[in-house]
Amino acid sequence: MPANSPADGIFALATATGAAPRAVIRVSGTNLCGDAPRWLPRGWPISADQNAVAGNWLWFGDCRIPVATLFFSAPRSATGEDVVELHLPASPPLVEEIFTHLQNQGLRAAVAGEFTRRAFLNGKLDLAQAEAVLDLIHSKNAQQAVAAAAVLGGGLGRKLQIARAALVHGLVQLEAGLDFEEGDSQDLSPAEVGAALSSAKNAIARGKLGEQQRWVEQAEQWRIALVGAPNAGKTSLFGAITGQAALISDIAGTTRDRLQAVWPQPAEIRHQTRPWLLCDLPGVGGEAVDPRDAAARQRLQDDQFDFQLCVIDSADARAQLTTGLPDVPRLVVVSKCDLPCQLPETVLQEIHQQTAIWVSAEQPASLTALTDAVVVASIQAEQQHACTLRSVDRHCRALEQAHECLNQAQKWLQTGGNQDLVAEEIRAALMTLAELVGEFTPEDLLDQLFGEFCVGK
Amino acid sequence: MDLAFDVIVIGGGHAGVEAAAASARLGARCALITLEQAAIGRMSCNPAIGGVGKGQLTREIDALGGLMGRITDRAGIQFRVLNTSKGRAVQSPRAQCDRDLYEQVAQEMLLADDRVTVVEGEAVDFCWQEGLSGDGLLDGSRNRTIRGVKLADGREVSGKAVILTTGTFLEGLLHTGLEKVAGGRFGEAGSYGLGDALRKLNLPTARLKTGTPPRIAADSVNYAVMQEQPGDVHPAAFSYLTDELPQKQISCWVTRTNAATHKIVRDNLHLAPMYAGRIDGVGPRYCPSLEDKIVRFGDRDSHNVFLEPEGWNSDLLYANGISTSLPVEIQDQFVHTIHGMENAVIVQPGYAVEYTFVAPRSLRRTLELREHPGIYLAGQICGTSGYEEAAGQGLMAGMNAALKLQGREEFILGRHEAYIGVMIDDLVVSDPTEPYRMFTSRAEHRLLLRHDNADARLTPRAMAVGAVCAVREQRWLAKAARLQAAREQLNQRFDPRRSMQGGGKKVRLHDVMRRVEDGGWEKVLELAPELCELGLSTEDWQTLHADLHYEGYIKRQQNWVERGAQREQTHLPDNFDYHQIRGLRNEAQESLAAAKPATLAAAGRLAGVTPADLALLEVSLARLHRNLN
Repeated sequence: MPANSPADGIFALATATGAAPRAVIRVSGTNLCGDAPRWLPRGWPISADQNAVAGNWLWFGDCRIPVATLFFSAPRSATGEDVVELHLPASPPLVEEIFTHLQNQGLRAAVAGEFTRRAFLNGKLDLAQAEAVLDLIHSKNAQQAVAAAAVLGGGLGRKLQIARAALVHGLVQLEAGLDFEEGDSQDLSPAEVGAALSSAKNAIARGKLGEQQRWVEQAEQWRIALVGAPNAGKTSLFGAITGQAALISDIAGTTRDRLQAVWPQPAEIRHQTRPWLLCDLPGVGGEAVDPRDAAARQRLQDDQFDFQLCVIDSADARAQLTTGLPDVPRLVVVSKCDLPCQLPETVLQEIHQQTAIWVSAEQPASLTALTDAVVVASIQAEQQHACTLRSVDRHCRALEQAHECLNQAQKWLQTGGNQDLVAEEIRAALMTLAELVGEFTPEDLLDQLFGEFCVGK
Repeated sequence: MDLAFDVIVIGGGHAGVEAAAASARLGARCALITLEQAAIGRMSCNPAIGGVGKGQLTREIDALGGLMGRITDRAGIQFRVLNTSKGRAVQSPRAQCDRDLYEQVAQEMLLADDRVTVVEGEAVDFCWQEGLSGDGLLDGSRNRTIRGVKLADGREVSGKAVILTTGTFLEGLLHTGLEKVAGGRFGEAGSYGLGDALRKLNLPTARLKTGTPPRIAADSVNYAVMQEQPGDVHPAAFSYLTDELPQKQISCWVTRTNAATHKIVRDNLHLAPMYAGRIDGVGPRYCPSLEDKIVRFGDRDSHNVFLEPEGWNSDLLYANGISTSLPVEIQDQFVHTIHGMENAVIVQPGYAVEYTFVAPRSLRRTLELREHPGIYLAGQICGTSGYEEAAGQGLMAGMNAALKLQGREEFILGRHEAYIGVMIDDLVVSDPTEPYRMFTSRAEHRLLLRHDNADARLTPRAMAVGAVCAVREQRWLAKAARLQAAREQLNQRFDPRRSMQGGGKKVRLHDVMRRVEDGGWEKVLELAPELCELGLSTEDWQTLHADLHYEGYIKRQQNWVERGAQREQTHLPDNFDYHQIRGLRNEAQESLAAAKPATLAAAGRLAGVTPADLALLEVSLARLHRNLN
């Protein structure tokens, strides 16, 4: 860590996660404005008088990136501390690189509500506002807890428990040696500590791999599935929405392979959500008409969707509402509303019980209501999604940090005579993991130590 | 005799001695009430000071002006630095002491300050005066002021603050086998009136237990079959004021228990008070009795026994490792199974002692009772174990009592400043179920809290309140200047070997220093002989080397400290009503209400308190302050 790093600078992405024209990274801390040349990436535009400044920044030495810097000096800033905003294209790898740079400069990723907390402490929010924000933090914590529980249930938790157990075991070995003099305790076994370190590192590396996988799966687009009985009019709808022509026929099973295209978003929500990707799926319901159709249906099972439009043909007297994809939020779309409605009464009742939109591919105006409904659903989903992505990001950072601590610990273990530093690195790794899977205190350590060893004259 | 004082200390153990001396150093007139003047500073248990964690505590006490380090340097018969192979931060000095000499020196040093008066007697109750009396300290809830202490013989000693350091004497009960006898220490009576006086104050009290091993006649064991444990070739002093230690040292001896020893103990467990249900108090896990070791670690058939001489001319050995409360005849039997002790003569049998303590969560960080201003507790009465832990608390209680009477700011040490700070911070929110002992692993900032730099950490703090003598102040200032000059030279000068080679990259001396092994600074001196002129001591070199060796880590820890600083400085009022905070979870409410943490940071360290709870607390606190204004 550089000698003059800001004592407690924090940073966070102030815009939605994902690809968009612009991202804003907000950094808050003491003396950030004056110290900007020291902690900003080399070559980042700075104005001597701390005015807003725009310019280019060279990425990889030759890639010119248009960026801007805004300075807000304490106390005239949102948090009451120095705040610096970095505006840059919202490319995830670029943002990632800036984050890593800031972290290397001794700044750290903010935790939920931290900017608000600072604003309150510095008198930027009154009590009522602060309480409102705290309520929000509580509900967000609850949301995050749900997200975190999902993640931990998904294997990361188990991997980290393995890592933690190995580290605690190694640390207990070390501390028993450190807190009791030679001859008063069992002799330290460097091999055992070394084995614990390796096993923890493996578990952490596997955990990180899993998290990165999650990132890849979730990062780019909000995927909307068109599902419904064969010949329900999905592909006409697909064409009307995306403007892409496709082979349309009345023969069931025409759409064997999936069609997908970007669904243009209304201008007012652009950049608030990920781009929408609309996928026209092979008709579900009915028997597979041939092996190719069957294979396509199988692929459908493996795909991940964020939302589904369940299409039903209003002109079909025998139509049934599709069950759709399991566990994916849905919207019922009644198609061909320009034709006389033939739906049986029972089906109509079923449709009225849920949110349903009546559309016709022949009447573009009827699609507006559908778009509006999808806007609402996608913005809601986006809030949840941002939580998840932030948690993935936070997890990966923590795991990298813990991994690095353990590399250092291995180094010190090999040099001998530095058991205090081995313990120090293991403690740092445990503290980092504790943020992900719960607390670990010195008292826990002593409990385990006295359980394992007969120490003390 | 004039019986009017500022500070009254009850008890003459290690906590009492430091409490009296510390308050006197700050100018308070101090009375030390003890059952027996000749027993002041007595080592009740092992004849040794220091050890891992405890050695650091002792040096901190010395850096703050306390006596323990100086007494040990004069009374020591063997000096060793432990953990030399494990890293500088966990190295700790330890000294065997001459038991008789130790108490003799302690008494001499204590009484050298004529502001200290010893009063022989048994304190049985507090004296109060209705309302606020003069410049005394008002017990607000009862509208009365502490005025002094009542003795068993009817005398009254008057004072404005009282520090209780009763050790194992408070309602002490000694167990040997199924026999039990009232007493505070072997052959000495306990103190039985004060317990009721404390309970009348509605303080939560409970019982703890500790034990001691048999003392063996030195001429009755066969050293030839034992392993010798000599002192260090270059013994290092505890006190920053000590220049030289006596060169002569005495060795300790190591032998082991065996299957036969264990069988005897196991067969007689029903006669051990702990296992026969005779002792209510809970014993420590880290200094276990032999019975405990054999029950809890049944798979081991041997444990170390350290035979430690009790003095230059003593004919006694302290049998460290076989603390026991079995009946005398069983002790005789099992001792004789130990290799080299076949003919050993037990001069004084081992015993267990059970005593009363006050739950330390009743205390503020000044060690003053929250509910009863003017009454301070220190040592085993707070649920701790060990001479060094007791002395550290005694010193802090003594300083704070004197400062409070003078209307000055309280003296608190942070967790990043001292093991003493860690200990008190842990204690005041805890409800110990076993005696609390210092371990280096309790400190988050272990690399900052080394024994070699205790003076750098604490002497300036003590100087700021005028708690150290002129000699110590001058010595520290000279050392600080020396270290500063050395750091500058190491930073500015280059390795001459490299500089002579044309085009070679210049290497600063501090980088050379960083890379040498611990103790290898002669290499640096060879490169820059002019550093000799600074007159650096071995310990100076150790500090310079350790600071460079740990540089990156020290920065990281200081960073953590800074991050936590705001929360460490946000004080929570004692009477804060945690049940009124909207949205605070029940678990957090209970935990906070029971522990009454002094600061927001301490609240965060409590079990069951989450970061979200802390945020709520912060807001409620702000509301409180706003309403007050």
